[in-house]
Amino acid sequence: MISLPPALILIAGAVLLPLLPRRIRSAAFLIFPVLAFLWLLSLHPGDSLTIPFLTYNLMVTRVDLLSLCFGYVFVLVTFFGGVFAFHVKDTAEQVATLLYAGSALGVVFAGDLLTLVCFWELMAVASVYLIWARGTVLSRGAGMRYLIVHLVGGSILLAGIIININETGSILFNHMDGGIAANLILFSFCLNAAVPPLHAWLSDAYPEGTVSGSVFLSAFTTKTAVYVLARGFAGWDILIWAGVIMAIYGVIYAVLENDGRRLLSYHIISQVGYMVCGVGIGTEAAISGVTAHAFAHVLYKALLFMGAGAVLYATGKSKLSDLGGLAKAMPIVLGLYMIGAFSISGFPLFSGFVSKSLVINAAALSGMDWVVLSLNLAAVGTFLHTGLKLPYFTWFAKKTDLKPSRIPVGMYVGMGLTALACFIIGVYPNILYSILPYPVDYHPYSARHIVETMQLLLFTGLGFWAIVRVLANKPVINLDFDWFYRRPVRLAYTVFVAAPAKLFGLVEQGAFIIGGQIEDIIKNPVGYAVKRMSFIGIRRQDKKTAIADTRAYNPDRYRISVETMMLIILIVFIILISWSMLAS
Amino acid sequence: MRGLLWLLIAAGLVLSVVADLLIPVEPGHDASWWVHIPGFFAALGFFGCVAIVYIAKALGKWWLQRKEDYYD
Repeated sequence: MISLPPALILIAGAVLLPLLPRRIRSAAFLIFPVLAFLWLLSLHPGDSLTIPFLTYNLMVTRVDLLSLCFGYVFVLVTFFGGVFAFHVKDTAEQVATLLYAGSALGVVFAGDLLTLVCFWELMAVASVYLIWARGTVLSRGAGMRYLIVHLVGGSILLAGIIININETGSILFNHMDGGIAANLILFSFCLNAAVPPLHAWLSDAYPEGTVSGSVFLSAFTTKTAVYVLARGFAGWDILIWAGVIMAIYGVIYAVLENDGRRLLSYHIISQVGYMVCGVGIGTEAAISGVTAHAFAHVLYKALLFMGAGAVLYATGKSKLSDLGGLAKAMPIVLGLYMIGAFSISGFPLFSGFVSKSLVINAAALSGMDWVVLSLNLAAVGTFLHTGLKLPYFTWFAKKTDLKPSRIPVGMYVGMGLTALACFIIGVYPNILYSILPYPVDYHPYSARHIVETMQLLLFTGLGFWAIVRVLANKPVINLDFDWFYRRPVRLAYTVFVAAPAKLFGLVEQGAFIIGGQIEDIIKNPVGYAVKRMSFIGIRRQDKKTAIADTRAYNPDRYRISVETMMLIILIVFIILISWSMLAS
Repeated sequence: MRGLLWLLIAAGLVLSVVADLLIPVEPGHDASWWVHIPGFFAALGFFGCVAIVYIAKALGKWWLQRKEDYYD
């Protein structure tokens, strides 16, 4: 059987969707992830498809357990997100979403580096529309920065790939061993995984996306990066500490963050930190843990963005300092959001409990005590912000006079389905464990693990309750690494735009003045000369005549009058007569 | 209802620490040094939470926080 790339189904969907009647587009959107899911079920580890292209053989499909696992969760979240976005009428947004999801699938099933980089770039271009579709000034700027950062990252990836092909002669994407090419590729993968200091595009752009667009954004870009890191860079030590730094970094910034969806974005960085760390550990247990955590993360993070998005949809606000007291008005959204919050925090019965502990356990098995402690500390921060701070300041805290509008049924259903998935994974972890790349011998529901987790989380809650007043945010923004390309923009603008523009302006003005003078001369050389020479008194003119003289040349205006001619002739005649009489 | 919730949380806090003392450490599997300290995770949760908040707030106050129109 031919293993066509599953990406094609979603990309075909993006092409077909605008051709369908507007009324059924939202429903038709949902068909494509279902078809893609069925397609994935028909694929088996080891399947591949190679197409000759120029002098290379492109392996457009390569199926193994790792790619299948990421593939499953990508189509799942496309479906759930599609239900959540059922009310969306913007066809371009729906098309961009399918294209984005399709290219993410394309990356995951790409067997060679050239196929990978094509889908990689397509992902950046498709996803930026989900930011721009919000239509605000902020989203336009953030989207442009997002696009530039990703296109730079894509170019670095391409450079790395070209060097790699030159060095090894192979275009296949397998584990990398080092060298310039591998480091360039690692750099661009880390950029998409949002490893500080390459992370600022994420917290800059994701909060500015549309209500449903940010749900998809949170799912694909960073997780495809985790996938390619796991495939190419498993066991690279530098990633262990990069991951730990990410996990803590996101947590610190989330304390300071006032915008709810930006807070969640910082927690993407924190959670992807667990995965990057797991990739760095690189053992079979760790890679399985990474895959499981990525799977769980895509779902609960989508759910959290749905919850914050629903509040934004209903109230038009996402800043915590503007929100509060919505519990009575939006209890269902609160409840469903809290399932996502319990999942990300790793409460027993929810998905994070069974996936996060796989990564931490892998670190413990490798004897990395400090990594284990740091990741546990990051878990404290995760519950503190996503589980306590955000819901407290959104739904409780203070009374506001917000009048939330009704939210579409599709939003409730989408959130409900995603919440159900989080819960099912938490209660039946073996469903998830059975599709991981390596067999897992781990039982999350040991008494010790439950007790330790409950201690950690409940006492975090106690800490929150003790210092909740400190946590209230004022409406401010926080400097991050995007400072390095946002702040110098003014200087760059002055040097590269304003100064040249001013120079061109001066030159243009000069050209106009010279041109005007030449025009005056050509139009009426006599008038021009008369005007210019007025200072020596040949002919005095007032301003009015000076202007009149710049009109087109008219010989009559300068013809000397008959009387003058007669006078001159008479004078000459007298002179000649006198001369001849004197001479004779 | 609200009282009951607080009661449950308080019971959970106490129970999690008591259970820690009762459940023996499984040898080998996850035997890092801290599993022998009773209530270690409770302390990590509470002090970790407070530390994260105050460290971040200090960073924000002295260095990172700016007015919302900073980039305009």
